[in-house]
Amino acid sequence: MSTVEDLLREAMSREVEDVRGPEGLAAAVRRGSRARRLRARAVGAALVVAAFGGGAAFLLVEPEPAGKNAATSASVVTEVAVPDVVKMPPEQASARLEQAGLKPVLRTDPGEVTSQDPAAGTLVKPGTEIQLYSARKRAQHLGDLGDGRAFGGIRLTYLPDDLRWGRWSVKDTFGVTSYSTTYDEPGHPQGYYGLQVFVFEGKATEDPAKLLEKMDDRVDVGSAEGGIASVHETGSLHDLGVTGELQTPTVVWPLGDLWVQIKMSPDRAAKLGGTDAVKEELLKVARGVERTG
Amino acid sequence: MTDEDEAAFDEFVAARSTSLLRTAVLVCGASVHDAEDLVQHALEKVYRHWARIREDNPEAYARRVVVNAAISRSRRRRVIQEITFARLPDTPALGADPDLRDSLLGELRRLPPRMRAVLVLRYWEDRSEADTAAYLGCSVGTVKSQAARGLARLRERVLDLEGALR
Repeated sequence: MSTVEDLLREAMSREVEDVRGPEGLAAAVRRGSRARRLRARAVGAALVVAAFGGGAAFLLVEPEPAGKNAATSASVVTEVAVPDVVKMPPEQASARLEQAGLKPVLRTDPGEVTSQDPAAGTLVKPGTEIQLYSARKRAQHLGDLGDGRAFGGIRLTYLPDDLRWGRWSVKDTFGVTSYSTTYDEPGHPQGYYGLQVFVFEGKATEDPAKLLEKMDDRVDVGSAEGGIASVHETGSLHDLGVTGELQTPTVVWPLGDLWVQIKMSPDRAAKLGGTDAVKEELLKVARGVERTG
Repeated sequence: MTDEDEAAFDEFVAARSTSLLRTAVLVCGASVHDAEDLVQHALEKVYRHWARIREDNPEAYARRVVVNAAISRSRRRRVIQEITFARLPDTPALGADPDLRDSLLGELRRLPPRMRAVLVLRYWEDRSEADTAAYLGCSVGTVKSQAARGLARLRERVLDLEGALR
């Protein structure tokens, strides 16, 4: 009988045998390097005249070199604000970008565009490539949840302003019975989440209950005592102050007959910058969770 | 960069992009277009330092960038949130899928990213333990233990099932 190493080797080889390096990659790399420099410059530039509007041409007034007379020699560069095409069908998004003088690069499936790079509002030179992506089909075990705040017997009465329902959900992936979904920053590439919320009931409550037992840092989550910790990829628990790509700030607590757990992506934790801000956000969301019966 | 540098870069990309892309697909467990994006970003890094590294070992540098970018990307994906739980649900999803290869790849994707990267480098790229450790910036001991644990997990999850099916 074959060893698992052999089977794995064969499975991996077959998995990627049809994958080929794309045509024109070296050219794309050069363009990418240039576009990044350009974006860095656009962000660093001082003064933007005119109002924001999808695809409107901008006058970018560059700061004067020191010692010169600013009134007479402002240099003017024409740039374009990237329109927001997220949620449009790929064809419509593509037409919209072309209309704005930009070059769409479709990396999409039929359906709708779920993210774009550079983001809407970024100032770029006309003709710049805009990459459009669409999410792979995601699990929709719970169907369309509207604003996504109510699922699995709970409702989130508070959610940070910059997060939207991630429009996917799973049931029983984390034990029977369990529910989970995420709240993401719009425009972020697929798979990047802000917060992930889990609801457990029945036999599935064993895992979160065990997790709470191991947590040293106890917190008041309104109705009950919960725990908060920074959970390493391997499952080991650390003080919330321990940060890094592998550390997921996590809060867990019982809610009547259910258990709820909220995880913050390491990315978002880094963005919030600081243990206090991370803890405050997690607890604010947690305290806003209500049982809907 | 000189014209010669540019030409050498074109040649390098043409020769190595397929292999780098395959590694990225396997390590980050993502779709091909996500992996392309990742490889392109990694190559931009290579391009910026090309004049300095082209005589050295640009492939090793590129591969290190790709592998580590693939690990950090897959760590941020929500699929990773599924495996921070110590154990999987009692009824594993692969029960519905008798195809061994798919099951094996499915389980591979559930492994923690670094463990998966170790298996990809060791068993798909056939790198030595020492090379794998160098790519991942960890010790040979870590490579050994991660490979052993990863294989044990695949064996337990998939091959037992296969035995039960036959």
